[in-house]
Amino acid sequence: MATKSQTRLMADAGLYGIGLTPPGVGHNSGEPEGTLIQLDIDVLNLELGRRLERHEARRDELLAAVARFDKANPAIRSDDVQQRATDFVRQLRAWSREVEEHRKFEKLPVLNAQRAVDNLFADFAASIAKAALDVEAKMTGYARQKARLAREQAEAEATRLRAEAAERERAAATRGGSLDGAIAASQAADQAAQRATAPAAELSRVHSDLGGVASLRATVRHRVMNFDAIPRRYLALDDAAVKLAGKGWRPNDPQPIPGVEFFVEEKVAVR
Amino acid sequence: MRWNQSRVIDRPEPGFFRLRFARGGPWMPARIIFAADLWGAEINGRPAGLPHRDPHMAPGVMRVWQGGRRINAEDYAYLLTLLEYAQDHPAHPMADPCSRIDVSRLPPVF
Repeated sequence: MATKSQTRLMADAGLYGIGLTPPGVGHNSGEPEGTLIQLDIDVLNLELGRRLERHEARRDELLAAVARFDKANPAIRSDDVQQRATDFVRQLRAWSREVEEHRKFEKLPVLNAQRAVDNLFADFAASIAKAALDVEAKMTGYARQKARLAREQAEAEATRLRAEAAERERAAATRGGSLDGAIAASQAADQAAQRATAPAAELSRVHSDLGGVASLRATVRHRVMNFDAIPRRYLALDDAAVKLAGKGWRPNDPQPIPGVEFFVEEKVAVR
Repeated sequence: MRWNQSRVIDRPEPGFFRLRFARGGPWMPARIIFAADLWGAEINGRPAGLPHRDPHMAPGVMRVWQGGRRINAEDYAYLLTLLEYAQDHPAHPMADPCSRIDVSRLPPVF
């Protein structure tokens, strides 16, 4: 049911005549039928928690082993322990891998559903989204022209009023009359000059009958004209290129990039 | 002790070895024997076949020589002991030498 003001607005806009009905209360609050995919997060958490139980026994067993390992070996001091620790890390990683595989398995239908919804809606909405961009492009052309004309008119008006003010001032000086007319013309010229320097958004703004507003929005963008002239603080290091330059580097080799120190960090790798 | 594993591939030498029956499977003890002018091999502590004067004709010798990794007598004895233990413990990887070891199915190492 449309409110009184909505009905008047639609009638004023002449929309009844082309078969449109006024929107009712809550018309913009989403799908009235409810979404197709119903997910109760509490139920999901409950069920996933139940399914994760199958990994719990092994996790507890491994954590108990970690505690025993830490207690018996504050640091590793022999090949024998190092060897066993290798297998231990493989066991810990195997558990993590198993749980990760389980996560992917449980999430796959959700991902597929998400992709299906996204693709379908994107395809369905593409033509209208493009049409909106096309209309906006035409509107931008018009808004630019409108702002330019308004600025030119204001500038011409300011010039004309300044000349008029000067003329009145001269006339007052020669004939001994009042300066009021000259002052008023000068003030009007200042106002016109101010209008000429107003932001493009202000000069191009239009208000639609249905409440929409369109105006030029100025966004600052940039493009690189001379890379060498850019101060260093605006540049980022190309990590991939640096890594490539350091590939195969050995501690006694010369440093390949001035300002970058390559060094070796050792960390055990378990396969 | 770390053995030099390089070898002339068609000229076997006697010694102690370990080898795998499957990719990712457990290391199993093996040995090449040369005695009384006869070549022979033991795999898993058992003779691989009848000894022969030609090492290429002696069962198991070339398999151990080409597929095994040299170890010392101490490690060989250790693997034999482990093998004995695995015979009484079916969950031990050496009880199923033809399968890849699944560490997630084994009790924690520590």
